[in-house]
Amino acid sequence: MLNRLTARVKHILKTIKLDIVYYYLREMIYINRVAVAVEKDLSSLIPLKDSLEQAGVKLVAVTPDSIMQDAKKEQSLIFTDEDRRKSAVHYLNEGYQGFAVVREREVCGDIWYTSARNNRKGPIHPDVEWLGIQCGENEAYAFDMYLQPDKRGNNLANLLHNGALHEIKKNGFARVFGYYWAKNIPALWVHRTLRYKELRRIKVTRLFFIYFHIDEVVDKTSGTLFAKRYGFNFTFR
Amino acid sequence: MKAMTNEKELIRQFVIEKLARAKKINRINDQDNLIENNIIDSLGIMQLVSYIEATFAVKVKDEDIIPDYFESIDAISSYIENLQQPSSE
Repeated sequence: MLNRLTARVKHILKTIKLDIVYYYLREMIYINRVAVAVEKDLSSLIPLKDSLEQAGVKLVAVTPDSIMQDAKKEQSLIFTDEDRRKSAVHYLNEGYQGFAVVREREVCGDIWYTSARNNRKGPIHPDVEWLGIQCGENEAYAFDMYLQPDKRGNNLANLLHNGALHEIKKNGFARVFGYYWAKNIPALWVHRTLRYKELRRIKVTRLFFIYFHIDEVVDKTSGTLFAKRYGFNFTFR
Repeated sequence: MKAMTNEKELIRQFVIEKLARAKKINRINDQDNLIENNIIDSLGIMQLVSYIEATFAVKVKDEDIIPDYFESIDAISSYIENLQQPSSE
């Protein structure tokens, strides 16, 4: 019934050329979307070898200087997607740290992380609370990996993510947390090929800026559900 | 046994034509590692899962999308064969 209704709404919006509204609404209103919280022990990383060079890209840190829009500067990064550049500015203002894979100076994709070392008031990131993640002193939370649509493929997502994990380890962290949506097959694949360990699955229902979470704790051997935790929050994400 | 051989050939054909040829790979053996050889990446797995579901009339659960089941033509073929077994429940 719900599937038919969704298909009907999509069809109507497409007919009146408002499919962009549909895609926006689809991200603002959803029911029981499954998020998978994961962790990665950085003592067992997949070697980088020369894979970045072979793909013709470099991994660089995103810094305030590098995203100033002065394309003449040698160290400046070129974001072809202005929204993505604005996100980077916002993240840097929040004290988060980021890495990008670049070809020449053009950003093909970026990923961000934060930790308790970032002297923010409250939680280190809005996501960690509903994900039930508690970052210790030498643990980081990685989030919002994004690849430019025209640059996807050629294993670039793995190279970016794995490269970032190596850099985070160099910065003295022992473990990284994160999450992906279970239906997002590319994200799921990146985390599984990098041997992330699944922590828990959380069902998320969103109505614009209001979120409801159901965290189901299942015994892995028997598959028996032995606890349910409910959460609620109001966040601009 | 013959059905499994057909399955393998269909998978091989798909992997070569849609995923490997762009990387200038034209031949894949049953045990070749498709992940280490960068043939299946995050976009490739999405295409492969769609293809398997459409061609073999099976449902691939997200819990099953793990490297062990997709690392070679042999592994993919065994996984599909398991999916096609009638459930004992």
